[in-house]
Amino acid sequence: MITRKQIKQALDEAYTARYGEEEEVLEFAQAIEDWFESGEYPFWVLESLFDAIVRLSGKPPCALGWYAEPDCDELGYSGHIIFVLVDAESGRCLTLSHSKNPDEHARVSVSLPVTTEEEAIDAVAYFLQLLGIPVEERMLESAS
Amino acid sequence: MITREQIKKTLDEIYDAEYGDGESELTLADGISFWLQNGEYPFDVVETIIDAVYRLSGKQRSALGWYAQPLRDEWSYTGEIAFVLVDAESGRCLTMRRPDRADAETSISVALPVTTEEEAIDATAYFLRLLGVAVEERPSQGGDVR
Repeated sequence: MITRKQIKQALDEAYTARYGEEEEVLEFAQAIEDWFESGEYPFWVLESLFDAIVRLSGKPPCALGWYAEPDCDELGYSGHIIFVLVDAESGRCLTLSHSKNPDEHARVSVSLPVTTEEEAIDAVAYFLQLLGIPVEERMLESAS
Repeated sequence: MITREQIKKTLDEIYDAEYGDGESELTLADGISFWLQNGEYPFDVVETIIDAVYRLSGKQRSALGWYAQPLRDEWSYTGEIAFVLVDAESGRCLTMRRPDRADAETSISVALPVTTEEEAIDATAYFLRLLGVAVEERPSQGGDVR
């Protein structure tokens, strides 16, 4: 089973591998902060999320097909990211959900919040579970 | 076989029925020019192409899953739309292309230019072919002789 700590580490390592200079160690939480501070298209967040999923799944990058797009409303980025994930070996779309209404499209994407590091860990855990990999559950936050 | 003329007619009929005011006749070409001029999200153009694919393929809406996103550069829409198409019955992503190398990423979307009605017809024809529907080829445009 993959722990949430391993996911956090994989996100930090993926972000560092892509964007760290020399011996610099980066934290993925900073990537999210930079997104909301800059308001720029967060390719560094999307790439690091995908790299972490690939690394933890143990699959080669070509085994997964991926589309990710930050969701926008009139005020800017909403903090949700729309994802489509395909198992390239079978060609099956893992984020597909069927509609019971024949007049509605089937849904191919999921929209997940990625405004904090915990939410990013949740998102990676969600995709690992879609790939059949068991992941530690998030601890319930105790009510005060 | 579906002709390009049939695709054009279907696109225009759908566009006029959904977005026309009931008086002057609107075509998809009007919608595309409006998009490229005003820079707003081209919901009408995307939906018209998708609706035409349903009508011409005879598929129920629940039989297909779509994701479509108009592409932007730093300033504005580029005129291309990225599409993901999934056959909901088999779950297969029809727009997926696997790379030659294992360390490269698999693409699941196609980006198609939709800046003219001819390109919208090409895009519709592309999806119909993915669904196994025979479609007339675009006549070659006769390039420059050099």
